[in-house]
Amino acid sequence: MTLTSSSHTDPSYRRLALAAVFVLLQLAVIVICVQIRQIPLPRPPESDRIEQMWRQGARGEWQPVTLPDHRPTAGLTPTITTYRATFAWSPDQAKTPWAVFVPRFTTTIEIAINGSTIEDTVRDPSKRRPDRNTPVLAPIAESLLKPGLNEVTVRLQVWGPLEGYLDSLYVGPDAQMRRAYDVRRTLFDTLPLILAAWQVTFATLLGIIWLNRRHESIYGYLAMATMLGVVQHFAGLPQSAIVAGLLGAMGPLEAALMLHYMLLLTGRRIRRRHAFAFMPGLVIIAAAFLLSPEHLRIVYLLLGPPSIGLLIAAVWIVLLAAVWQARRHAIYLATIFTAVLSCWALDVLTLNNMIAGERIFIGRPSYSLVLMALGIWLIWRFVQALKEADGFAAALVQKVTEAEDKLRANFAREEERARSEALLAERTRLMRDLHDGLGGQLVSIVALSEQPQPSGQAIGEAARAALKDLRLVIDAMEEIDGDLMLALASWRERIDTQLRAHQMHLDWTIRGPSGLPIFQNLRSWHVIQLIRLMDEVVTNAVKHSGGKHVAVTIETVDDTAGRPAGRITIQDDGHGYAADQTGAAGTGRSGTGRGLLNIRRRAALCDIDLVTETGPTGTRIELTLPAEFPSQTADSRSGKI
Amino acid sequence: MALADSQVIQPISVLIVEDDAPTRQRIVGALSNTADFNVNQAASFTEAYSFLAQTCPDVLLTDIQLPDGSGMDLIRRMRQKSDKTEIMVISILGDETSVISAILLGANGYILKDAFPADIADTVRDLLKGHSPISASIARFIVRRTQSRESGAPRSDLNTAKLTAREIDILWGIAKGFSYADIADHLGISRQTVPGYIKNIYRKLEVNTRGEAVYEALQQGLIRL
Repeated sequence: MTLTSSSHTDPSYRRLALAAVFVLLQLAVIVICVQIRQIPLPRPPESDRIEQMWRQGARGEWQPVTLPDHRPTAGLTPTITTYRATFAWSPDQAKTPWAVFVPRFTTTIEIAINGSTIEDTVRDPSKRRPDRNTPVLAPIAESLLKPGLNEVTVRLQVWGPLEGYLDSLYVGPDAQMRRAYDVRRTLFDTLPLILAAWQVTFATLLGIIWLNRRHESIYGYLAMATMLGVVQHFAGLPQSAIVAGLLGAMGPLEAALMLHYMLLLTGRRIRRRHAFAFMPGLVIIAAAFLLSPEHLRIVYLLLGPPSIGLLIAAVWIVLLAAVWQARRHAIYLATIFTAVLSCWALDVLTLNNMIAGERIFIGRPSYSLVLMALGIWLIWRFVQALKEADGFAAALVQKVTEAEDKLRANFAREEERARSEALLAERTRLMRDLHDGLGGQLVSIVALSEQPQPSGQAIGEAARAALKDLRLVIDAMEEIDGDLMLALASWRERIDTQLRAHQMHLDWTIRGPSGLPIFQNLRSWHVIQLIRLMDEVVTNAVKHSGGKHVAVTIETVDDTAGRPAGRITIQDDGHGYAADQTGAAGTGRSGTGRGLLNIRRRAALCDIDLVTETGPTGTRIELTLPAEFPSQTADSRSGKI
Repeated sequence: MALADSQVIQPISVLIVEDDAPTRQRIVGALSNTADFNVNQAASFTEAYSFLAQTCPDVLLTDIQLPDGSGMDLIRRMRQKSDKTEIMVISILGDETSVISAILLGANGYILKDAFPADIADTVRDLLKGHSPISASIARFIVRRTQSRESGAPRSDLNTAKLTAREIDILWGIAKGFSYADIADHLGISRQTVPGYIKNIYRKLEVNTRGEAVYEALQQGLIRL
C-alpha cells in the first residue's frame, strides 16, 4: 500500500512532495500507535504476584503452569479450566483488607478463596466481553482467610471466538491493588461507556440531520454505522446462534456503511454496484436464521473478518485516491484511518501472541474515537454549510437591496424621462393646436390692423375668434374621459354668445337621457378637430346663410355595425349655398367654399361621417361620429389628405 | 319704460375695478346705457380701496390682477365689510382657478372680459335677481371635486360636503350642456328656481372663516382646488 507506485507519470513535483509528506505522516502515526500500545499499564507490586499455578488437566491431574496461560476455545460451547495456587496470610495483617486482582482474562473467571467463591464475572455481562480489557478486583472477606497458607482457585470459562487467556494473579492488601485497578477500569470500562454514550448522541444528531435532509445520505450512513457500533458495545456475549449471527454481521455492515460514507465524503457518487459491500453482512444474517451453528461459524469465518478487512482496505484506497487528488480533508481522514488500521493490526498481532507485553486490545476504542472524529468533522461541515448559507442569505439580501436601489433609481430616471417626454409631447400638441387656430387668427389681426383703413369690426371679430380658440384649446386639455358632452357644453356657451352678438338664436336639443355615448379612445385632438369643424359650420351659418336660427341636435343612433354612435346635426334656416361653392376641392375660393373644405378635412381626420344638405330653406350638416375614434395622430394622417 | 324709470328711485351703485383703460371703459359703457346703474370706476387697488372705505356699492366688479394689489384681496375686504354687496370677478378665460378662488372668498359670479355689452348688463341684472352665472367648465370642476371626495383619492380644500344630491345633479346637467329647462324637467323642479340653486351652491362653497389665513393660502397656492 504505497502511494508512490504510479506517481512517476505525474510530472507535478508538488503532488510528489505531498505524497511523500503523506507517507511520512502515516509512518509516524503507525509508530505512535505502536508506542502507545507499548506504554505499560500500572500493576500492583511484584511481591503480590502469583506466577506459578497448578492447572487441572482433562483427566483431573494437576500440572504446574506459568502465567500468563492460553487455552483453546470450543466456540459456543463453554470449556472450564481450573487453576489453583497458595498464598500466605497472617492475622497481624487483618487490619488491612485483602483482595484478588486479575488484570486480564478471557472469557470469564470465577475466583474462590479456600473453596468459597468471591467473584464470578459471568454475573457481570460487561466484564465478559473478550475484546474489552476489563480487570477484576475481588475483595476477600477476612473470615475466609486463615493464618498461614490459603488456597486461591480460579475457574477460567472459555467460549466465543477468542482463545482463553489468563494473565497474572495478584493477591495482597486491597490498597496496593486499588490504583492499578482504578486506572484500568477507567480506561477499559468507563471510557468506552462514555464513548458509547457519545456515539448515541452523535448518531441521533446525524440521524436528525439526515431525516430532514434526505438528499444528504452521507449523514445517514454515518448515523447507521455509529448506531451499529453502539449496539455492539452494549450487547453482551451471544447466547444463541441467531444473536451471535446478528452480532457477527454488524462488523461487515458497519464497514460497508463506512465505505459508503467515505465515498460520499471524498466527492464520489454512490453507484448500484456499491451495494455489494453490504452482501457479506446480509449473508451472515441469513445464515444465522437458516443454517446450523456450525455452518454459521464457517460462514462467519469465511465472510466476516475477511470482508471487514477488504472493506476497510477499500475505504483506505478511496481515501488514498482522494489524497492523490490533493484533497486536504482526505489527508486528515486517511491519517485517522491509518491509526485505526494500525491499532487493529496490533490487535491481530496480540491475538496471535506475536507481540510482547500485555494482551490489550486497542482496536475497538480507537474505532470509537474515529467515529467521534468523523462525526465532529461532519457536524463541523454542516455548521460551515449553515454559516455559508447565512452568509449567502446576507449577501443575497444585500444584493436584492442593491438591485432594488438600482431599480428605484432606474424607475425614477425612467419616470423623469417619461415626464419630460410627456411635457415635450404636450408642448408639441399645444403648439400645433395654437398654430392651427390662435396663431393664424393673431396674424390675421396684425394684417387687418395694418390695412390702409383698418376695420375695427373685422379686427374685433378676428380677436374674438382668437379668444374663442384659446378657450377651446384650454378646454380640450382637460381630461373628459370620453364624455364628449362635457366639451360640447362649453362649446354651446361660446356659440350662444357668438350667435346672440349677430342677433341669431341657438336651439340646443339633446335627445335621450345622456345625448352622446362615451367614446373610449377619445383624445383631446379629436375634440379640438370636432369643435373647430362645428365652429366653421356655425361661422358659415352666421356669415353666409342669412338665417336667424341655428339648431344643434345631439343624439345617439346605431351605426352600421349596430354599435351606438353619436350624431350631431347643425341646421340653419338660411338660403343655402350655391352648388359650385360646395363642389370638389380647389373650386371653392369664397369663404364658404374654404370653410367647407376645412370641414371635410377635419371630418376625415376623425373618421366622422359628414352629410351636407343645402337648399333654399337652409343648410343641414349631419355629423355621425365613429364608435371608435382613430388612434393615429392628426399629423400622421394629415399627410395622406 | 317710463314706469320703470319712475320706480328706480335709487339707481344701483356699481364699482368697476379694472386697470386696462379700454376694457374698463367698455364695461362702464355696457352698464351706463341705462339709468339703472350708477357706475363708479377704479383703475387700481388703492383707488378701489379708498372708494370702498367711503361707501358700500351694491355691485363690485373686479379684475384679479391689479398693478398694486390683488382683486382677491378686494373681494375679501368687501365681503368682510358687507354681506349684501354682489361681487363678480372679471375673468379673461372664466377658468376654474380664478373663478372658484373668488367664490371661496365670497364672490357670487364672474363675467368674461370680452363679453358683449348687452350680456354684461344682463349678467349683472340677473345677479341682482339672485341668479348667479355658472359655466359648464366650472360646474364640471365642482362636480369632479364631489366625486374625488367620495372616492377619497386626491385631497381638495374645496369643501363640497355641504352640497345636496339635487345641487350636484343640477351641476351635472350644466356640465353636460343641458339647458336649465331640461334640467328642471329632469329633476321635477320649477324652471325659475334653477338659477337660485347656483347662488346657493356658491354660498356653500364659500369659506366661512374670512380671515387672513384662507387668503394667504390661496395666494400661495396652499389651498388645493
